[in-house]
Amino acid sequence: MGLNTSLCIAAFALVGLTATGPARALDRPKDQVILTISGKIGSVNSINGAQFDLAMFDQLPQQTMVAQTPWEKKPTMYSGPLLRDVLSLVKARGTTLQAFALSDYQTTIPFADAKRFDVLMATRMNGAPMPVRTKGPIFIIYPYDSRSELQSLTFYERSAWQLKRLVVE
Amino acid sequence: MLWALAVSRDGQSRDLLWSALIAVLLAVAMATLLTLQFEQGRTLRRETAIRADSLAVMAFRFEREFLRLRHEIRIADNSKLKPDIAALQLRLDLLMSHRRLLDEHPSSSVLTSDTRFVLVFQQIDSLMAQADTAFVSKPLDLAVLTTLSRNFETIGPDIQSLSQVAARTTAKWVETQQQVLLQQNQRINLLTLVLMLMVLLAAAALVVRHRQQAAEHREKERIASQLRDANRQAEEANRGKSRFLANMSHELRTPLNGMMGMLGLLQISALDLQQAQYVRVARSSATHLLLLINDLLDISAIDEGKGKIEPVQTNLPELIRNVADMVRPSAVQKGLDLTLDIEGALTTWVITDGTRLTQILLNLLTNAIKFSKRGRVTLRLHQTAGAFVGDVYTVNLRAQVTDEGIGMDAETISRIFRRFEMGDASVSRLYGGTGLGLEISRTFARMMAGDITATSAIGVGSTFTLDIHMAVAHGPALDTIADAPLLRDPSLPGLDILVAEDHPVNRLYMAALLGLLGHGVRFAEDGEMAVAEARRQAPDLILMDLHMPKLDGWQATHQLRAGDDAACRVPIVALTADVLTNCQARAAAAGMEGFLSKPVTLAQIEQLLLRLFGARGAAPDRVQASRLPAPHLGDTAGAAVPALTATDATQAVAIQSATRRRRRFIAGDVERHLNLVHIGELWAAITLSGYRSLLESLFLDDSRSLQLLCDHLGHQRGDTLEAAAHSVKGTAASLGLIAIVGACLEVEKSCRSFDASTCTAALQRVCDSVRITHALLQTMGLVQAPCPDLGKSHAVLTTTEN
Repeated sequence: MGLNTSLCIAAFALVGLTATGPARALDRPKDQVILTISGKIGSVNSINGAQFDLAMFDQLPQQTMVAQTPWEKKPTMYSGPLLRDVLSLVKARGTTLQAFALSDYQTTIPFADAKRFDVLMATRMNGAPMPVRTKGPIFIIYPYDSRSELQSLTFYERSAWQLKRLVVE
Repeated sequence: MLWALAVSRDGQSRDLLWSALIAVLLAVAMATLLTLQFEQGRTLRRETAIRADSLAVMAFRFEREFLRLRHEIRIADNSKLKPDIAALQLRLDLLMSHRRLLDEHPSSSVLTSDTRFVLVFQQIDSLMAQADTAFVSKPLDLAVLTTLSRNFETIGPDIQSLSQVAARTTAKWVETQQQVLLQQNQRINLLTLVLMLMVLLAAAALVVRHRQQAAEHREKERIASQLRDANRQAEEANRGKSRFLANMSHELRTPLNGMMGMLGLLQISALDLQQAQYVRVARSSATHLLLLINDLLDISAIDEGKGKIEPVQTNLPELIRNVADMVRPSAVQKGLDLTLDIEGALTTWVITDGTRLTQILLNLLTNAIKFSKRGRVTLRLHQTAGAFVGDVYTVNLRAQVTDEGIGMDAETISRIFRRFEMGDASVSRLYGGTGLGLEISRTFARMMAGDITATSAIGVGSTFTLDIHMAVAHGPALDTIADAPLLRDPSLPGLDILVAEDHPVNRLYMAALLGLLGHGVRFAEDGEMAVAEARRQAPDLILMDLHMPKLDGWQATHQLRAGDDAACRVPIVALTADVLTNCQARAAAAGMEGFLSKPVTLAQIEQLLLRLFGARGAAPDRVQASRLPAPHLGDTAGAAVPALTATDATQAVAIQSATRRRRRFIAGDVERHLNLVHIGELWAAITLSGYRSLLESLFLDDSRSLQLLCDHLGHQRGDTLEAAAHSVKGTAASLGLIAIVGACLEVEKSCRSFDASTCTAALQRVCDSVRITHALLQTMGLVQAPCPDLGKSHAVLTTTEN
């Protein structure tokens, strides 16, 4: 646990140096679209809403987090942008987020969670990109290890993997 | 039940043991409960993690993705169109992600490790690998697609059974979990129950213990109350006994008074020597008995808080002399030298309770005599300069009684003032007495603003010191009480005295007593008769017993005083054996002139009559009137005679003659002057005539030893005094003339320090003793020779010592 926490801190420090701020014009995806955000958002780049490819995610400030999830045998290192950065990028304003996965899994995430917790939109597991086979391309990870109250079914349910679409409501 | 044991002999430690045991048991039960709860908490947390994606759900999703992939492949195989490779690839990826989940998820290990499914997993893994290879190759080989489709169809039932087993396993696992939880729950319940029971047990035990303690407390209370009752009863009984003792002592006094009175009369009647001896012994026994009874009465009065001090005007030097006179006989009898040593001058008239002071001094002196075998008993008096206490001029009198007796140690001194304590038990047997005397004396001394202290050394002797404060009185305006008894001229008629007395013995006694004094006596047997008799003919005096039938002394007095005849002014003097109550004050309040405490002695009644009637009340001069020569009027010591109110010339003559001559004998004279036992023995040895001739030789001028002694004393020839005194002492001692022996002994002992005044005093004592002894012997018919003339320097022998 102590190791994890210090890793987190180290990661934040690194990001702090390289970050250029979340507010910037939304680019168009140049590669395969991995996530579409729609609903109450102020910034779109297609008729379906705001569409992202992996490169766009990589351009956002990156966070790294070690977490033990119920779906892995051991603690795993995840990295990617924070949910709140992504949402502010698309100027989302709402109360809930409907998350849809490739496997037709659906879940609802309170909008406030993005502010309350450092919720990660992981694009990499142990430093490697995540294919669909390993719950990619996007895996929503709550900071389970640093906040024990998150170790409950309520938050495990919100931790959608193989995420393909978010609807801001 | 446990606590019943706990009340046993070692109750407290057992209680403690049980408390400790219960506390330990409770702690153990609580700890177990905590462990179980903790365990349950952990189980629940683990379950939460696992339930995030239950095995059944995972297996179901895996089957679903399998079915969707199989469906896609079948469509692609049957379709004539170009298959959508990307869609197939996505479906395969999703299936592979779920397959991976089954590997990764901890709860799925039951499936993956199940031997039944090992082959199924191998087959599906192999199929997925084939599909992956097939979907990557371009263009897609349709034959491969057909094979894939067929293989997927074949494995379908196995995948479904996987789902079923997972569902069942999950259900069973949930059931097991529930069972575990239930089991834990049951254990917790059981433990809680045990805890509850123990708490109840402890509470019950506390209640039982509390009740027991309450019962014990009640029992203790009961015992304490019983003890209190018993103590009360004992005290009651003790008080009852004390009352009985007091009453009995009081009752004893009446017959004893009669006895003593009779003995007193017997003693002064004509008796032969042996009879006189018997009467003397009987009287001294009776006196002793009276003293003991008085002690008992005093102590009862003190105990009941009724002991009272009644300070009255008292002649202190006379009181002291009387005391010394009272104890002298017993001192002489024991061969002790009793010395009265007055340092400086004593105030004549003081306000004090003379009776009590006499009693205290008597007690101290008799003790000193009682506990001495030889040597000297000294009563030393010293009066310190007075001071004003408020308006009253008060002096402090210190009376020290010193003996050369057995002495005491410090421990004994601390005990002797306590009730019933004498030196020790053997002393009590040896010397007798009530053991109350010193307590009474000290109590009275303290009541009189004084105290008694004692110092002593074993074998050397003891000194008891009485310190007492008393107010100085002015003295009676008229000193009517002469130091020596007056004698009534035979020509004067006696008084007419009415005695109201219900007791026949006492009547007889009073008759004898008053008859002896030459007064006429009338008797009344009760109050009524007394009143009637007094009114019939008014007497000179009524002696009124206070306790009488029909009308008691108080009532009779009241009736008489209420009247208007001659009887209403007749002096009344109360007679009673009652000393407990404040009779004296009551008598005065009732209009009585005086108070006589029984037993009445001749001296007391004579003194009373003298006080009331002057010379008329005195005894008739008949004892020596015929023997003594006519009064030497020229030698009169009239200046020393108290001036009486009497204007009657006859009375004046009577008084003068009384002071000039040797008074008649008084009780105790024989005892003080003659050792009759010794004399009796002499008679037995040398016959009466032999004794007579010896006496003659002493009193005749043959040896002139007596004259010589007096001469030496008169001329203060100190150098020859000792030999002269010694010579007389020897003769007198062999003849049993103890008063002369005493006087000579004093001269012999202290003549070397004599000066003029002490010489005169010693001379007087020697002369007194010789004259009284001679008069006694003459009256007894033992000596014919006249009393020798003891010196010209000492013209008149007087009995007044002031």
